[in-house]
Amino acid sequence: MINDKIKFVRNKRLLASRMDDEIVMMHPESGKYFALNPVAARIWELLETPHNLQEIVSKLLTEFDVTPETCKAQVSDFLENISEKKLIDKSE
Amino acid sequence: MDKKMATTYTYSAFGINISSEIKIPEFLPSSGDIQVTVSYGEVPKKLDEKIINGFRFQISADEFIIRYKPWAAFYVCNGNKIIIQPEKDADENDIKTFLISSVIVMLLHQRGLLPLHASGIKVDNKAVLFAANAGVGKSTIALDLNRKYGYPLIADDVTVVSAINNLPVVYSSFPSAKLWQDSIEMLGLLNKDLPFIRKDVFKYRFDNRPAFFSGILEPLLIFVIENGDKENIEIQEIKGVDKFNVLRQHIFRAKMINEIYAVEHFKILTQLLKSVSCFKILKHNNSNTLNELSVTIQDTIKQW
Repeated sequence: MINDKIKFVRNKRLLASRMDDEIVMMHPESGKYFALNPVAARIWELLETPHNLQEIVSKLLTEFDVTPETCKAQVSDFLENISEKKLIDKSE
Repeated sequence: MDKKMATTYTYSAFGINISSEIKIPEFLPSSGDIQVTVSYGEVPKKLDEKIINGFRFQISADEFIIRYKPWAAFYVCNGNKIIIQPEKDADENDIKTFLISSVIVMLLHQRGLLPLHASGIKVDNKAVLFAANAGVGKSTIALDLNRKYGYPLIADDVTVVSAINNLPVVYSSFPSAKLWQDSIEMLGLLNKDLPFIRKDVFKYRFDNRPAFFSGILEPLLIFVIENGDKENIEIQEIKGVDKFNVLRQHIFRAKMINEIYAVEHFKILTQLLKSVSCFKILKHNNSNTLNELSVTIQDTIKQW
């Protein structure tokens, strides 16, 4: 589980481009492509500056119709997932 | 091939001025500053720093070798030089056909441009492109729209996209189309005087100089045409990441060269797709739906 001491920020080396309400990304070293759906794209937008889990969840709760518990669990999974894929960097 | 005897011709195609020892009547003549030379000479046996090694080709970041037996070997380097080493008794017209399609596309990649497998027309002062796999009919649809509605042609098989100051631009290619017999019949053309593109390929070369526009255009719309299995034509706008995924498949020689030019392609393609709308059209493979296809496209263009 991700604790709130960890801040996440975009991996600046990634190429990313908005396509309507989604985002397409490419990792320049691996050449792999990634796609973000509208909610994931919103999280990616926030991560232009470092955010911890709670900060992201608080912002999403004001924009999307979701319960705090569900939101926190899903955002946490998402951050773990894209962190593994090196789309975002962690800092304490 | 005595070097001293070589005559050179100067042409313009894909927004590039080319000096060539091989005659390319399909290209437009040019008097601008030469950016690319095409000459006869010796092609290196192999590349020192090859990244991709295929059955008959080798590719590195700035070099490309391909051997088309029994015609010629081609060496393309630094986006500014093509060397042709013909095989014994090879026909110059046949060699030229490889040169102006597959070979020159590698030069375009080396120059940091994005060559799409697409034909194109000029609508007002903008480019409308038709991306499709081989045999779907992208040459035919462009020619039919020219014939029916008078839109000038800008490309037959390869359309070059670039970005100037972060804005996408389309360069016209050259005024010549390659048509199969069935396209010639559908368009009501006569083939008795048309040359074959190669001695062993029953595809005709059709000069469309009077209907051609040469220059740079802002892109407007892209139609991706595929063969479907329904009787009627279906048209649907493509949005979001799908747009990128679909168009990426239509980069010329995408699979062969992606790992070398992926970053450049990503940048140009995403810039292009931010400025254009894309539609996917499914047409029936067998029945003659050319007229219906042209009308569908014209209706969409008119609404834009």
